[in-house]
Amino acid sequence: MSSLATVSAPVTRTFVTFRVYERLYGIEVCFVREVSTQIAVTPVPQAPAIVRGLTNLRSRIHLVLDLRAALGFPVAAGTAESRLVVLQAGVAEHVGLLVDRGGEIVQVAQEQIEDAAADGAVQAGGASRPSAVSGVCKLADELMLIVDPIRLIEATEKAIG
Amino acid sequence: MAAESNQQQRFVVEAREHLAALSAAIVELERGASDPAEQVARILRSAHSLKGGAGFSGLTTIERLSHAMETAVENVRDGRIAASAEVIDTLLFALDRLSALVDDAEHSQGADITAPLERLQPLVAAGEASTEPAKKISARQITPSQASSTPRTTTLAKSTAAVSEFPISPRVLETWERHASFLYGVKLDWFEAERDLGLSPLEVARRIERAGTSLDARMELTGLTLADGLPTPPLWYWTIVSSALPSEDFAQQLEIPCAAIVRLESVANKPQEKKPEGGAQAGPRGPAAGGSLRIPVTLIDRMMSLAGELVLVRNQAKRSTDAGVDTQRQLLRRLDALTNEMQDAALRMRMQPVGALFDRFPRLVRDLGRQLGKQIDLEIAGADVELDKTVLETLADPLTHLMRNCCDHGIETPDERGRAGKSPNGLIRLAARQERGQIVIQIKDDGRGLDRDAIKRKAMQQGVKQRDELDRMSEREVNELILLSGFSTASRVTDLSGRGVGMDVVRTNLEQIGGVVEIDSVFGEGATFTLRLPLTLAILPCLLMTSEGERFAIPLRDVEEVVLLRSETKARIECADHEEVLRLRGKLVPVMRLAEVLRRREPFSADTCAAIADRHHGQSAELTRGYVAILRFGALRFGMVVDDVLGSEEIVVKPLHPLLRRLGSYGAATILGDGRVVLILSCEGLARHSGIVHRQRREVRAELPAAAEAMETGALLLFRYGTAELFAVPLGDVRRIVSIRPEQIERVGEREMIAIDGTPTNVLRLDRFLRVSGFDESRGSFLILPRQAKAPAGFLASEIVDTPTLDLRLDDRAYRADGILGSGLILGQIAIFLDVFRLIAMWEIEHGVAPAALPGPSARKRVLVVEDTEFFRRLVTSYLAAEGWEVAAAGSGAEGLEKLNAESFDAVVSDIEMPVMDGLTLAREVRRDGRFDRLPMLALTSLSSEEDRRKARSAGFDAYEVKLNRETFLETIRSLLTSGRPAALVAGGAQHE
Repeated sequence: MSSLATVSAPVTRTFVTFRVYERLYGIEVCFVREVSTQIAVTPVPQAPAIVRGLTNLRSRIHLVLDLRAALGFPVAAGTAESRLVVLQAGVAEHVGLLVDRGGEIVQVAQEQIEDAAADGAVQAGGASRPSAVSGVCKLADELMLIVDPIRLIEATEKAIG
Repeated sequence: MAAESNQQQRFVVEAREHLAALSAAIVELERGASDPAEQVARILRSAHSLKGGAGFSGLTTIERLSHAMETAVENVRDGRIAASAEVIDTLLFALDRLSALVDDAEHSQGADITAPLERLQPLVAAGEASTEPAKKISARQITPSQASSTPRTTTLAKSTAAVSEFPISPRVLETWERHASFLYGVKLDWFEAERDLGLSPLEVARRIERAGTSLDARMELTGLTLADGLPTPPLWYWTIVSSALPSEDFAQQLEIPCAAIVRLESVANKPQEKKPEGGAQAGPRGPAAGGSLRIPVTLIDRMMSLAGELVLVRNQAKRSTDAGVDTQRQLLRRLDALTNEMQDAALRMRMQPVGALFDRFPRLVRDLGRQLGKQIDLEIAGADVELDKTVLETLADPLTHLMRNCCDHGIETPDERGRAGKSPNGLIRLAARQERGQIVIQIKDDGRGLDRDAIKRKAMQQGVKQRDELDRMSEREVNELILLSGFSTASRVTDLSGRGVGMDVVRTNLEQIGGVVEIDSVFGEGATFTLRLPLTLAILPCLLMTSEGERFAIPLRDVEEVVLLRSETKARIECADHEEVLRLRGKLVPVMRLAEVLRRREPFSADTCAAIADRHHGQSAELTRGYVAILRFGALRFGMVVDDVLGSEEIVVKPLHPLLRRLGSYGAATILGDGRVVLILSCEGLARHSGIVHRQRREVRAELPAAAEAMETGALLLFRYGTAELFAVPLGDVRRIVSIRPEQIERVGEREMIAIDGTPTNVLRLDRFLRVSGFDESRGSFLILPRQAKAPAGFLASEIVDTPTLDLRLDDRAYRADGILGSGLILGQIAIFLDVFRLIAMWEIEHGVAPAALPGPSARKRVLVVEDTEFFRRLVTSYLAAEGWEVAAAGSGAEGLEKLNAESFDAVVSDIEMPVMDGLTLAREVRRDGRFDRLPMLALTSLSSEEDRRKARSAGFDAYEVKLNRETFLETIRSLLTSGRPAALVAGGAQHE
């Protein structure tokens, strides 16, 4: 890329942020349909830990994935602060990600983002399954780990067998 | 791009219908149909529609091949070639290729169709080479019968016209007097008219006006510039003419031999949503009454799910409505009725005639017959019976397999048939009919039938069953062994049925849609396969239950019954050879625990089963509580232990999330009235996961003394009042059932009355006493008159369902209210057992019909009822309590004895057959004890032989009543209570033992 292009049109990306196990994560806004407070979940026995269960979102049954489990943290019960990050149908139909706390929408420049593929995002502090994290973004006061929902779905498929 | 593929998809759906019709018609033609002309017309219509649709969708390869077929069949129609076996074969060959192209429409464009085209070539050429000078006017579009009788001949008419060439504008529709005239499309070439016939444009116009009224006209003048000189032939002219003349007369009157004529009424009468091209409407099908519309399935599904939501809302509304308020009840009743109707309409939208599927079988049977050297006739009935689209789709494979199986294994060769004294032609009857909310499809052949001895031998060889098991199986059970996977008795495997697709596929596919297969056969005379299918899938009555605090649903159709586990009595889980079994009416039924199955991701190994069995039985079995749902999966019956049963509910099935489909234990999911998601268990998945399917020992008969397992049965009257519930009362309590007309019911103050045989009789409405759905007048109106009521009264019923004699097992968890004895699973549905006498007493109190004055406490007699069957215990208690006596109940002889020791009673009523301590032992114990010398005892039992009576007497009973005539029972107990123990017996205390 020529530097000229970068100057004339700075590429920014927008993320929906949330917290899991106190760490900051973000999903690109185009992958997210809504953030819901509906977290009443019916567990699905026999499913792997990443599957938190099923919930009823406006009369549609949604699959709820537990991001704690997905990112390798200990699973915990939901709280009043828990949120469901519902993915766009294009990513996966009727799937929501259960997170500990909702956050803001942030806009970051492309240069702030580092691809995590190379170093496996080892900084994710004990995240033993870094595959869902596709990048790291340096914000003013902390790091935001970028979650790739498509990889997450793939991981779920694999886990279910 | 998307639009194009949508169009292609629509084409494929439509094309399959045409292909099926084509196939049926061709085979019909070959079989020597009584109406060959109609079959040919059918072929032409379908081929033509196919061609049109393909052309419109840009699928030119399919278009070319269907065109060739159409042309070939035209030559058959016009008598230029005969419909010989060879011609039929060629047509079928082309049809196969066409089907393959349609199946993969996306890639059809590049496909090689030279082979079918080459084979069709001579048939197509027959027309061109024909020396027949005359081609009938517009023979292409006027139906054969009309065409062949057209007297006119001309050498000139080469032009043809398609309906699609005449777009009908709204203006035409307005001016066309549809009731008084036909609508024709006329197409001609000005040049031809002028040059060959000498008809000037003016003359043409005049002739057209002579034959009818021109409503619209159009000419093709593309690229005409004066610089190019005069237009070159042909110069086409299209006009739409309305005329009162039928087609032959019209053509005659028109007298323009070069014109092509088509009939347009059917198109004009169609809703205008039609496609601009595609001759689907070209056929002479009459205008459909009321019209029809093509609606995407997705939209219908959406409608279905909305209707389903509405059902949920209604259920919620029901629960939160105060049943006491009249206006609310009325509103609710209307909501109820409307919801039901809407749901019904929504379901109806998904229905398709089963004929769409049946159409493929004449061809299949014909081909198989040829391949196998057999002569097989196929008779089809009930092709217009409608089935849910999904059910129909799932049915295709199993039905095809069964048909193959009939042709291959069922029907014998002509030689064999001859030797067996049968006609050389085998006959397969395929019939569909609707029967009690189910669709029944039957395939019946007159072939060799099933050889049950061979099946048994094979079963033993494969180790599926033991000889003693086989000996105990019914004929049908033996027949159904062929549905087990890997089970084939055919001595030789042909390439037809033996392609690794076993009969088990039939069963599994059917089970997916909640269907079952039954097989009946008389060896040497044929076999009948009966498929029973649900009308629709989307709404499913389910049993709701809990396991480890979570709710689960299981389709009621999979549930045979629900057994309450009681540690002290007969329903007990035992451990046999590291496998858990339930002793149920003398049989050992394999059992699995839902909680254990759901806890483990991996399918069970034998070790897992053993570990579970040992864990639950290492400790005291007394701790076992809960329910066992007896489920049926194909020929397999097994029990599923759950913590609690919540009752049954009609639920709207939602598909399982795609990511979860690999978990076999669930079939689908649903959203309940409280908004929570609940998983619907798959009976099959559970059976597989828990390894029950692999258990060596399936259901076996337990060898135990019958006494401990005596089952109480009784005759019941089953009826309905509202739409939802099924009610049961003991038939013995019913004096009479009268069919009435609702308008005969009169309101007298607070009461409703009707004259029965001149006696004013009170009408009791169940929804006044119980929280049940409102009266459903649409089914009918009956009054059930109980045996005894102080004031004449009867219960209103909408439908008398049945009077079966059934096992009586009550489960009081689902429904418990004053006036209800309990509930039980009858015929796959939860039935509410009414306490008739309590209900009447409730009504009498409400309406101030004073019940007979109860004796004061001091004078009140106390009766002890000893009875192990909950149903009878409650019933007898209710009888006695209604008489004003105080009643205590015990579930076994031992318990009864305890009560006798602790409290004082004036009489004992005891069952004889009971676990732990039976009635005879109880009586002996009582009589042995001097304190009870004067205590009268009455035996109330279903045993009725003289021997039983004698035994009871000698054990110490004073009276003997057979279950259960309320009046004689009460009379006997009354006399026992007033006159006490017959003196002779008191004196002869030594009589016992």
